[in-house]
Amino acid sequence: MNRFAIITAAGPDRPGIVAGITRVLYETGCNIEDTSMTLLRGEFAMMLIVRLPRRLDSKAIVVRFKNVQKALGLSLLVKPLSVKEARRDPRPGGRPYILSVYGSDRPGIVYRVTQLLASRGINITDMNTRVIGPTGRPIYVMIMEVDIPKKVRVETLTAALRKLQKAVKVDVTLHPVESAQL
Amino acid sequence: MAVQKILQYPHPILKGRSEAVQTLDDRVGRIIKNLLDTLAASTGVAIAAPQIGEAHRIIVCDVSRKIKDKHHGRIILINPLIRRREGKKIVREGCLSVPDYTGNVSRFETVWVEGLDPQGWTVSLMAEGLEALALQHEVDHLDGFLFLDRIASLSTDLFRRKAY
Repeated sequence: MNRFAIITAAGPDRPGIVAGITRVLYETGCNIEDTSMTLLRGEFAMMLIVRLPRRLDSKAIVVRFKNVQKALGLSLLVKPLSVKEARRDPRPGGRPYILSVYGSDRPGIVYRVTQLLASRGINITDMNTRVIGPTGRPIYVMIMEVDIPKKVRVETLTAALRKLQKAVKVDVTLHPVESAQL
Repeated sequence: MAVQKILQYPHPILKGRSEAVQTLDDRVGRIIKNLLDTLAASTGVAIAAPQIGEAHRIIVCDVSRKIKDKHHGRIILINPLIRRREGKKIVREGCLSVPDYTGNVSRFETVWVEGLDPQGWTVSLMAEGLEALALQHEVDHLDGFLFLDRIASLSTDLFRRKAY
């Protein structure tokens, strides 16, 4: 039996979206575990892992969201997760690096860069992209946090990124996340 | 004298202010020994007395376990004070008392710290990099601050600016 669920929701930004969603969770006895939420232009987007109470499955919870969904104009999806899928902290085994990619906006930047990472078994753990600059000359900025497995040599990856940098005409930098376990 | 259990949040000692050491008695010596033993057995580079349940202003630090150059080796400081800070930066920190979580905190690259050594002599030193971070982090423990109180940004605040 699935005892967890991941809820993804998005809608036009306004005060009260998080309160509206979490009120339903509170009233139905769901426990909020890890979440990530952010504002993308005018849309507020949310992802929440919740633990479901015994008497409620992920289908029943969708029904309980109907009112708030309508009131706030939210699109909402609830996907059941098993205990194993919702396990806490599947810690990546490699080293965290920040990869910045930016340049004149053109099709394929995200695909070409992420395909290169995927082909080397490098996992993206966080990613943001923005279109910035004047309307006529948009600049694409992509910042990723990646987990570089021990078997991948950073020098080799840097060389591959440098090659790609020329091909896609973007600027790329890769640097380790400065971290301290104190 | 032995390896002590490292307290984890929400233990109340971690959120309280530790007391200044008034006399360098046996008790202080015992705390220092315990701090050194506990640090040696841990994965960290520094530890503060409240982390082992002693609400006294004592810290120990030894970054030589992680890095090779630019450090003072084993530092034991009683009643430490940060006199000067330079070079603000954002670093991702983790803490033995807050397991499984790291956060981006605002710290300084270089700090000038003053305190007493175990014999009661005044020590002042300039620390950089990891050592400076560790000293800032441990002095925070003495005031009941965890890195969670110093989170400077979620990973994405680079983009939070709304107007270009």
